[in-house]
Amino acid sequence: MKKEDHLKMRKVLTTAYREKEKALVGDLWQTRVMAHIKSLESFYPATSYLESFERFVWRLAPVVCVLLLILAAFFIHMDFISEYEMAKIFFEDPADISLFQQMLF
Amino acid sequence: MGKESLKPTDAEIVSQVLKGSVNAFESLLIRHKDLVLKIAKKHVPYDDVEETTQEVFVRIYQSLPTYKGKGDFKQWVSSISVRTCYDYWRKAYRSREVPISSLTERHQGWLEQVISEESEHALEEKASQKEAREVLDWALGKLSAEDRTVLELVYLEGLSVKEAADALGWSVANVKVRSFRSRRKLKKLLQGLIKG
Repeated sequence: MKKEDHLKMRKVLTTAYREKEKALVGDLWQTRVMAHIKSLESFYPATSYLESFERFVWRLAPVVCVLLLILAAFFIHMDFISEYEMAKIFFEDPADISLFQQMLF
Repeated sequence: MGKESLKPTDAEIVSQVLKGSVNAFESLLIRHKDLVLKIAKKHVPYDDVEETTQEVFVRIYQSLPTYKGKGDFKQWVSSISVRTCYDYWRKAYRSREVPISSLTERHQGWLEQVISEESEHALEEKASQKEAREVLDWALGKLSAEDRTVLELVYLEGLSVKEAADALGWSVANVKVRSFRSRRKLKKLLQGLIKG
């Protein structure tokens, strides 16, 4: 294709492309768009401090629950008795204390 | 002068919307709907213009927190519009919903007539014929979403490579390469059509 033929083609196709702008949209288009926008969940920050605090508390609630569950499990499985007994032996047996003192000094 | 200066700026309306006044968004919609519609009408098929422009305004609304208020709001809006149209074609190509039109001898004859025409007026007449639109749609349908968008912006709309790159959020080099390739593809397609 010669350069001038290509230029002619470009001119015709560009004009045809611009003709598309003349298409019309329905009268209710704007109303429909606004209705859709209003139906969207508001993601903007809350206007009042109370609302912000409330949202913060609810967001934190699951984390606190999980933390409480972990702590509860930890305390249930912790062997209090054996540690108490070990401490008792350590303080009641003088030989162990002297050994301990020797180690220290 | 008085009335014009009383009108809130785009940035002021944006801040109202961000404070929770969704209704204020309607002012932005009224101000910029012609621009958005103009872009969408050129880039997507007639039947999908309304849906696409709605998508554009939803994206604008959802992106308002990212608008810094420094640049031109109009430019920001057109950039979102162009990207939404590009996404429309990407989705269409992915789901293979691009209508593949076939051309007939009538189109071939029309193309030959265009080349043989000498006067400007006759060329304008040819452009207003429906064959022009059909040949253009056929050729664009043969390109990828990327090539199609760049060709429309640079070759058909006459934007500079920098402007197209800004609108699409691509690098200038990428647009330059795509523009060159898509033009070559279009030329090949038209040549093939003339030869039959």
